Amino acid sequence: MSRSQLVLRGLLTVASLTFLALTLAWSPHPIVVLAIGIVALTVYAAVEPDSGLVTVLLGAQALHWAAAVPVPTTTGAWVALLGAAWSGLVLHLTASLAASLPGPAPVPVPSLRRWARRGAVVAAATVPVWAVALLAGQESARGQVSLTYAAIAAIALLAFATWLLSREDRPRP
Amino acid sequence: MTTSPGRRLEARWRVTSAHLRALFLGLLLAGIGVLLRRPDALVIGAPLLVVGLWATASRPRSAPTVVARLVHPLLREGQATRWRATISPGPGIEEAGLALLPTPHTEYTPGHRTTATAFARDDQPRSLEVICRSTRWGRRPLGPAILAVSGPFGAFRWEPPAVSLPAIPTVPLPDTFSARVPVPHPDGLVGQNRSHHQGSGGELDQIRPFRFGDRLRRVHWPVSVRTGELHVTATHADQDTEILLLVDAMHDIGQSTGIEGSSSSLDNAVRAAGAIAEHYLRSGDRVGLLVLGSRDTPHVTAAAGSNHLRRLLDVLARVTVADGTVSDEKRLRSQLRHHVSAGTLAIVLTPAVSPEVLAHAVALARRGISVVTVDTLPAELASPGIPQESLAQLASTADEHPTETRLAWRLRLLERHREMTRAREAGVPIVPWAGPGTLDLVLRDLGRRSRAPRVVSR
Repeated sequence: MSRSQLVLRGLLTVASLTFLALTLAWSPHPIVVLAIGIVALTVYAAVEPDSGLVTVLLGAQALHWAAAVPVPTTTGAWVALLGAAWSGLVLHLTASLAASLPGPAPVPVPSLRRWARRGAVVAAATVPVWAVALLAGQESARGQVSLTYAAIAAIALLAFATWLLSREDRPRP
Repeated sequence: MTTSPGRRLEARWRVTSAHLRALFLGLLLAGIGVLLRRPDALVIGAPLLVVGLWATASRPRSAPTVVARLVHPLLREGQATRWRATISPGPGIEEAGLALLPTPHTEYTPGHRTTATAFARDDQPRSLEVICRSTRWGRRPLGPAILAVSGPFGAFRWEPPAVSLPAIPTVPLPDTFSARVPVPHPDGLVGQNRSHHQGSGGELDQIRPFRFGDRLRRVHWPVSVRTGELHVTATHADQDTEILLLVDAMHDIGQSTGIEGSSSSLDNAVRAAGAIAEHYLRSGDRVGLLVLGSRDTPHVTAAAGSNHLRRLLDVLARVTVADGTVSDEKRLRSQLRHHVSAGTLAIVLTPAVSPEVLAHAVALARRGISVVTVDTLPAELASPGIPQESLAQLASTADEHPTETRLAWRLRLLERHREMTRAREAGVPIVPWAGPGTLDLVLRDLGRRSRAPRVVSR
């Protein structure tokens, strides 16, 4: 395996373990069994980044956070949340890049630069979402049922639009 | 050598598991955030959703043009070619990777047989190349290869099925060979071998009195002046001959590790056949080839010329060892009923393990054909006290039963010795392959014998 691939997979492992460490650090009652499973999945994902178990790993990380960590109330918890989101992003991007190219071949430098630049843009785009969530959480404004339904409808529309765009091109008769 | 036109690859863009992961988890976490009023789930899902939507928006719209080919259509042992995929990029095409599966008797550069490249916006066509060096004669299928082109964020992949290009023939690199002794029965029209008959040639036969019809430029003036009578120089005619190479492919004994390593008996036979053919074709003789026991190798009738050498080497590159089935024995029996013209020199290249082949050599000799047998068994296997590490070349069970394997091989060598002795007593000379001069001594003996009276069975 090439050196650059080893670095990518090492980064994947570090990102996954960082996500797990943040979850355990801010969880009053960590789910130990799930944490052990996540560590095992991390090792497997580093070896086989093209596997479907990477999706299971990232999903398990997110659900572990949602199940074990309460809604952040302090600034430290909100900063940890941003760190967890970025760790998830790094995990996803490193697994995707490692799976795109053959393992023994060195990853081309232009690819590394492009993926790092785009990753930084996405990480930066996460900050406004995080900031809005932080401010909304600190305002503790009472929610309205109609707005919740509107948000659900928006997500449903987004999912439908994404599905339409992601469909494979089929040959026309 | 010309470059082959190549094969255009066809495939469709497919969504990768990475893209599904980004979209599925992004939407799931956003849904959890809204339904369960968990803003933290929304924050964790947001980057994944952004990646998924970005990749969807910038997805590749057209298929790339990918042509795969081998740069050289034919190789000699030790020569290298390139497995090349030329990719013309389009919008949304960002990375491409190539990986070749290993092939026996082939060295790759880079050693891991993979390569990758990245495309920039409005980039020129690029080539992914892996250098393949064939280290043994034969038909060499390089690959199959796995090629993949990716879109932004690795979200879409264009990947044709495993690419198998036609096997590239690797012709044997002939050993060095030369023979200074002429063949016993030259009977053709043109050539460089001295005939028994007088005629227009270069080698002096005698100086004899002038006869009606002799050319004046043949008059030998010193003798004519001394004797007072016209004398002319008579020469032997120069003629070509027919060489028939019989390669025994019923067994391949020993380990073949390529041109720079150890050679098996079939390696020795094929390379020696190439060397002998090259030598005699350059001398203007006609050379034919028959591979005994090999499947799908045609009988090459005797012909002369450099193009014929190419034809012979191409057939030698197709030689495969028989797998010991009944059909192989039937094929051998039918091959042994081949026609041999009078005056042909038959050279049998065999490890002398098949009694049928040696018996055929004896039968040819009894018909009055000049036969020479070249022993191609590797020298290290021809003695009974072979080292332990060489036993595995003889039988797959040698590691489990070394004593029995050694004993069995000793018995086989004894039988081989007995059969070779019988063949020698029947007038078939057997010489080990030793490169230049291998055939000189036996051809000289055959030449002497051919001038002596003898009894043949027709």
